[in-house]
This record gives sequence, structure tokens and C-alpha cells, in this order.
Amino acid sequence: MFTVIGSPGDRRVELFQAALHSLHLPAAEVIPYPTIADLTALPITPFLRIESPGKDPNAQRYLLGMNVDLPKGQLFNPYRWYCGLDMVMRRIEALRSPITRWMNPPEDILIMFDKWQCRTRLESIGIPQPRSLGPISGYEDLISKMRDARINRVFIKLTHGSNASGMIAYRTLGHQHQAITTIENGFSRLYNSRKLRTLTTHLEIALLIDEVCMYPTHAEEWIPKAAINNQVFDLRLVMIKGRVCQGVVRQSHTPITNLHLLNQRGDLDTVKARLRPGQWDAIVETSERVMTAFPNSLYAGIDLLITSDFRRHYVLEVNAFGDLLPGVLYKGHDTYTEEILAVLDDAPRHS
Amino acid sequence: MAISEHLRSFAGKSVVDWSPDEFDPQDPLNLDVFYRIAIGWDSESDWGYHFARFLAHPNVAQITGIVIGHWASDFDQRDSSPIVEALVNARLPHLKAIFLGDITYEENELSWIIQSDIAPLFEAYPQLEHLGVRGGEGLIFNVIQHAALKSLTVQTGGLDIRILQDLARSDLPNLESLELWLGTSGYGWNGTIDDVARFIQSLDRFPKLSALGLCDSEIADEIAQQIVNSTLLDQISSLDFSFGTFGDEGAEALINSPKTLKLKTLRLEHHFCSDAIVEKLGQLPIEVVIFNQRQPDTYDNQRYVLNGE
Repeated sequence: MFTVIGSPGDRRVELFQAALHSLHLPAAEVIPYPTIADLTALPITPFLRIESPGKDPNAQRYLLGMNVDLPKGQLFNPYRWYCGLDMVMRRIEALRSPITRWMNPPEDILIMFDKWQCRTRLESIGIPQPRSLGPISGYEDLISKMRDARINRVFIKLTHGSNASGMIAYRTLGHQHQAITTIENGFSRLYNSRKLRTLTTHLEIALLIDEVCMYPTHAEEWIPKAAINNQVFDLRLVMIKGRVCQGVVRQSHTPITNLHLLNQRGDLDTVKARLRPGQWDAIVETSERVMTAFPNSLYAGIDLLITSDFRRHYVLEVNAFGDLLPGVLYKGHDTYTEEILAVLDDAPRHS
Repeated sequence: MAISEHLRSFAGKSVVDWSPDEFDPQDPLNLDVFYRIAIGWDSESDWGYHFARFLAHPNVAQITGIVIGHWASDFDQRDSSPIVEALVNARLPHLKAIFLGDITYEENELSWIIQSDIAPLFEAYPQLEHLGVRGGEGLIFNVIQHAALKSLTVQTGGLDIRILQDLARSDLPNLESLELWLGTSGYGWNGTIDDVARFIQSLDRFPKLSALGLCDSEIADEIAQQIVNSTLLDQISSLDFSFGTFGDEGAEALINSPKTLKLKTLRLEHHFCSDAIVEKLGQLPIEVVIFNQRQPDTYDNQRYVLNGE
């Protein structure tokens, strides 16, 4: 009944199969990324799910178009990776049988994976987002844009980076500079680290930003986040069928909250209890409006921050594969089960 | 990198945000809470405007405490002197508690906050009982003569030794609680263990002092070793080495000193003690508040203070 484009053995695929199994549905046929170019047709099933390639080295090599072993942790040109994804998505689009319905269509996945395109699309429907400085070409360009916008605190993001890969939180005041980053650099190669580094030497920071800007990069204002129990947090909200279905609180002692960086999950009810009257409803409303920008997508994970004064909220990112929240249940279901039920319930939606 | 949250309480009262958008100056203030006067990260108006509006509340003269948050817009590297001046000019007759600089890590790096000469506050507010200051850069106390002050907290990324020297010559006959964040030499700490030892010796000039915190220090172990050889433990009942590099060496000094048993409370939040030492500390017949055990950094094997960079 389902076809999954993904990596066999990857946790996401396994969990999706488990969700099918728990609903007494047949296992999905899994199409590995590297086989897509050679296929002449996709299995004709009612539903097609495009899953993240995960960490599978074959899939990653394939997307990067590099037939060599990839050194662990090295940051490869994310634009090259994105071009690979683009090629795969177009191929899937061409191979899909007209009777097969997408869970999420390739075009939406491609937009969500291009953070700049995604933010532009959200801007067009008035979603609150941190102020943008636009694409940046290097440190000098960044500094002049910061000065013009009177912003002294930014997040520098790889436009096609995933998770916290290549992320830099940079701020400056007077002659002082500070950059907090997941990047390790050495001899013109960049590595992703699980540990954050703090740089305070101006030259070192400038060189790092120049290096990251070899790839498409943009910057946006770093807005102070709300904190609970002396940890800042933001929210990952899983949207299914246009509605907020699940949420986790990503807590951190550092400005970069992504969950896999050893940060903690907080309790959503604690956050809700701290919000101002009506604020949760406003957050839900914003999140639902985000999904109207992707009317053909069944699900996505929205990252959203609440400001340190608990007065406002801003959408940070929309993640095409941001629906994996192992162990978090909504109405007794995990996200994948919820998605399967939604798509079965609402079959004509994608036609 | 660690102060993530604004104060939720200070000197025994809850702290709530005050903003000109949400409060009508015609309305009375709630005297059961302290208000935080701050400008937001994106504020169009300046701190002085906020404070002037705050002072327009009909019962503002009744407030007993105030918390000052972020005062400079992001691009202004402005010291706290205009804030001190505004507080002095306000002459709030019942004000007993001031926290100057409730600024989180994301709003501004601790060592980037610029304070100023805050001595005028002591002169303008002889009834002041509680003072908290965050940020050591530019901070000047001078020698303080103040009969009412009960608690003084100075949170810095690195304390200038002049502050210790000035305090050691101050007259604070009612001072009960003193908490100083000494910080690290990378961010302004310019003292030595000898300076701290001299300072500890001078503390008997505060006859009511019962709680001492020497926090966020990169020489926490050495300080503990000094303290057991001083008369300080005959004087105080609460000792706090939180947020620093406190480890087994400091803990053993305390465990091996009979004077430690004169304490009621020992606080060690964020420490580098081994499990065995944590257990020994727990067996002391005093209250030991110990949590957030840390390991030396895996890259350079260094111990880091909590509020460093």
C-alpha cells in the first residue's frame, strides 16, 4: 500500500514499517536513493512517502555524486548535496504513477530544504520570522549588512544545511566578537562537531565565516529566546494534516538548541503554563498558517522560538523530515502512525 | 555561557516585566511584586523613556524594590551611568532592593555588560537593604559607608580586584550576605589567591556577615584551602562555591577541617568533585547542597567556570 524512498535499515524507515505493522498494514516497499536513477518506474502503490536518506553512506555518496568513502563528520558542500536531492526529487516526480499519492510532494521537500526559498515563501504569507540580512558572501559583507540593519547578533546558516550543520551564532559589540559554532575547521576543511565551540578572536571568526560563505549562506537576527529553569528553549512542532499534533521543547544552555547536540527535551506543559493568555493559541495559529504555504504536504516539523519576554514568537525553520519524534505520543499514536491514519482517512486529498 | 533566564524573584519577591505597552500609567502598581524595567532586543524607545513612564504610576513612591534589565539597544555600547543617575534622581522613598543588570546570556555576554560608578546609589538610598549587580566591566563601588545594606551580590565574568579592596575598607554594619562572582582572568579577574586571602581576613569588619559566596571562580579550590585556615568559619554559617572550578582538593580541605562543621549550609552548584568526594561531603552533618557535577573538558582537560565563555 505504501512505497518509501529511503534508506533500508535506517531508523526512520524501521519506525515507519513498525507503524504500518501496528495498524496491520503490509510492509512498505523501500526504494533506496542510489537505485532511483536506474529505475524505469516506481511501484504502483496508493501512497508514496519520501523519507530522509538518513546517515546511510551509500545514499549520502549518491546525493553528493562522489563515489568515495566520506570522512566522518566532514562538512561537504551542502549545495552539491541539495543538487543531488533536487535530481532525485525530479526523477521521483517523473516516475510516479498518476494513481500514487504523495504524502509530501517533491517540490515542497525541495523548498523546505532550501532555507532561503522557504523563508521567502513564508514571508509572502506574513509569517513572523527573525529579520533577515539576506544571502551573505563573506565576513565583510556580513558586517556591512549588520551595520546597515543595526543588528549586532546573528545566526549564520548554510542555506542548504540540515540540523545544526555549519551553524554559527555570531555577535559583536564595540571591539568585541564572539562566535558559537558546531564547526571545527582545519586546513580548509570544515567538520561538524557535536560539541559547540566559542571563538572570541576577531580574525579567527572572520576566517571561519569566510570559509562557510564558500557555500550559499544567509544570516538572520539572533533573537533572545525564552528560558525555563535557566535554559533557553525553542519548540519543534510536528504538523500533520495542517494541525499541530505533537511538540517537544528543545532546551539548551547554548543558543543552538538542535536536539542531537546533546541538548535536553523539556516539558511542553511547563512551557504552556508559562505562556501569556492566548499565546499558545497564537502559536498554533501561526503554525497552521505555515502549513498553508505547503497545502500538498501532509506533515512537517516547524521550529519556533518564543522571545525572552514571552511576548512574541517567530518561526525559525520548516523541516521536511522533521516529523521524527521517537517516543512522543499524541492521542496514543506516534507521528508515523498518525500520518498513516491521516492519509488513509483523507485519500482524495492529493489527487 | 549560562545565565539564560531573567530573575523570577529577588529579595523575596516575584519579579514581573513592566512595559509601556502593557501598563497604563494611570493604574496603580502591584506592590507585592518587583517590576523589571528593561528594553527589548528590538525596542524602538530607550530605557529612559520606559523608566519615566514607570515613574508616572500614581503609587510608584510606594515600591520597595526594582529590577533593571537590558538598558542599551543592541548597537549602543552604553554603560549603566544614565541608569544609576535616573535611579538617584527618582528618589523612591521606600526603595530597599535594587538589581542592576538582569541581562541574560543571549541579550548580552556577561563580560560585555558595562557598568559604572554605582556609589551614588548608596548615597541616594540610605534605606537600601539589597543590591545586586551583574557585569564587572566598568563597575566601581568606592569605599561604601552604608548602615542598612543587608545583602550584596556582584555577578561578573571577572571581578576587578579594586572591588575587593574597596569592600575590605567599607563599613557595612548590617551586611549579612555577600556573594561575589570572581570569574576568570580571561574576563577581568586580576586577583591572586593572596588578594583573596587578605580579603577574607578583612571580613570580620562586617559583624553580621553570615553568608558568603565566592562563586564562579577559577581558583575555588585554593580559596577553600585558605578559608579553612582563617577565622571566617567562626563567623559565617553559609558558604557558597557554586559555578566555579571547585573540586576534590577544595572539598578535602573542607572535609578535613573541624571548622567546617560550624557551617549550616555549604552550596556547590556546578562542581568537579569525584563521586567518592561527593559522598563524603554528603556525610557531613551540615546541609550540603551539591549538584551539577561536571567533568573537565574532553578536549583540553580543563575545568571551566559556569559563567565563562
